[in-house]
Amino acid sequence: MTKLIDRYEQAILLITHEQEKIVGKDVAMRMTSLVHNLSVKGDKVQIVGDPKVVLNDLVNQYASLFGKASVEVSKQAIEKLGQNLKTDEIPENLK
Amino acid sequence: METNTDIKSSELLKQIAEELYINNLELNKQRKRIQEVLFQVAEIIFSIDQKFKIVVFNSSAEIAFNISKENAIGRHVDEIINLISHKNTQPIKAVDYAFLKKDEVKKNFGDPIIVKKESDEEAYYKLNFNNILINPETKECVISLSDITDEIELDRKKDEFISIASHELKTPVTIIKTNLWMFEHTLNMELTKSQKRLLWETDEGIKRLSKIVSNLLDISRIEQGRLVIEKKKVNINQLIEEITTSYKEIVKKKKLKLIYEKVNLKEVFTDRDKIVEILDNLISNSIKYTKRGHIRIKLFSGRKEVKIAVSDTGPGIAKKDYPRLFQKFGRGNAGLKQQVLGASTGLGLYISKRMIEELGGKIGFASEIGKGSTFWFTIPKLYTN
Repeated sequence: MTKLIDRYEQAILLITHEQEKIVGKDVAMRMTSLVHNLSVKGDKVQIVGDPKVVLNDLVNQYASLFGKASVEVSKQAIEKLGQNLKTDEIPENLK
Repeated sequence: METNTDIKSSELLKQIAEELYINNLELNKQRKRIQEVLFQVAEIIFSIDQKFKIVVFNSSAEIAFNISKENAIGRHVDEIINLISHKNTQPIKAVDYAFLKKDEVKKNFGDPIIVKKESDEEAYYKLNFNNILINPETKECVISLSDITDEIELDRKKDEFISIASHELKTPVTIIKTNLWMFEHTLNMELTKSQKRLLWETDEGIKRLSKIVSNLLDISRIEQGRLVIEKKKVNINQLIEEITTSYKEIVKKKKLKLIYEKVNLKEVFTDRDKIVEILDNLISNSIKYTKRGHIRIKLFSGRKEVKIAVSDTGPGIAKKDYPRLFQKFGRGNAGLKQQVLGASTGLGLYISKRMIEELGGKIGFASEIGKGSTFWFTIPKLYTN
C-alpha cells in the first residue's frame, strides 16, 4: 500500500483534474493556489502540515465559490482511489 | 468595511459562479457521453485540424490502423491513414477530401466514396466526412469509415452471376428469335386469328426477353470496365427522327402524341449506338408510364454541349423514389406496378447513366406528381476525334 501522504496527494490531484474539466485549467489552478499549505504544479503536489486538513480546505475552497455541486464532483473524483483512503482519513465534507 | 451593496454583489457573483459551474458540469457530462458513443461505435472515426493533424481517434480507428489514440493524436493524418480509392485505384490523401466540398470530392472519387486500406486490399470502407466550423478561425474535419467489405463482396458475386447468366441466355434467346422469324416467314399456310395472336405474343415476349438479356450484358460490360465506346460523326437530328419513327406504331396504339422539336446542329462526334440505347430507354420509359397526353423530345444546342430532353405527361415520380432512380434495379413504385405491362428490369436508367458518363456527359431529371417528368442528358459537342 502506498504511503498515506502519497494517497492524499493522489486525492488532491484527482480533485484538481476533475475540477479542471469543468472550470478550465486556469481557474482550477487559481482556486488551488488559494488553499493554505498546498501547492500543485502539473502532477507535483506539495503539502505542508496535516494533509487531511489541506484536502478539506481544497474541497471547501471550490465550494465557497461554486457551491454544493463542486463538492459532489470532488467526492466522485476520489472514488477512483477506492479503499486506499480509510473512512477516518477522509475529511468530513467528502463523506 | 463591507457595505450592504458589497454583500449583495458578492452573493450575486457567487450565485452566477454556481450556475456557471452547474452548466459546465452538465456540458462535461454530455461531452463524456458523446465521447463514450464515439469510442464504442463500430465505425472508424477520426478528426483532423486545418494542418491535417489528428485531433480525435476512436477505438475502431486504433484497431484498424494498429496505432493507439495517444500515438495518433497530433500526427499528420497521411502518416497513419493510407487509403486507396476503389474507383480509380489511386491513393486518396486527406488533402483530396478534407475541408473540400462533398460534390467536388464525389466527382473525383465516386458516390459513395469507397476506399481500401493500402495495407489490406481485402477490406473496403465507405468514406464520409463533415467539415465543422469550431469557431470563425478554426475548422475541423470529422472522417468516418464504415466497413462495407461484405456488401462489396455480395455485389461482386451478383455481378458475376449476372455476367454468367446473361451470356448463357444469349444463345438460346437468339435461337428462339431466329426460329420464330423463320417460322413466320416460311409458313405455307393461313393461320387462324388466335394462332396469329399466339405467335404475336410469343414474338413480343422474346423481344422483351432479348432486351433484358441485352441489358444484363450491358451491365456486366460496364461493371467489368469492358464497355467499348466507338465515336464517329453522328447527325443527332436524323438519329432522333429514326428513333421516333420506330415508336410511331406503339404511340398510335396508346393514342399518345410523340413530338420532336428539331434545332440546327452540326454532326457531333460521339457513339451512335450508345445514344440510340439511351434515347430508347428514355422514350420507351415515357411511353410505358404515360396513359394520355404526349411525349416531347427537345434538342438544345449549347456552346459546349448538346442537351436532349424527353418529357412526358405521365404520373410523375414520387420524391422518395428519386435517390434510387439511377441505381441498379432501382425503378420507382410505378415501375414495379408497370412490370405486368411490359419488360422492366430497373436497369435502363442505370445503364443510361453509366453510358452517358462514359461519353463525358451528364444525365438528370425533373418531375412533378400528376404533371409528368422530363429526363435529359448532355453530350459534349465534339466535332473531331
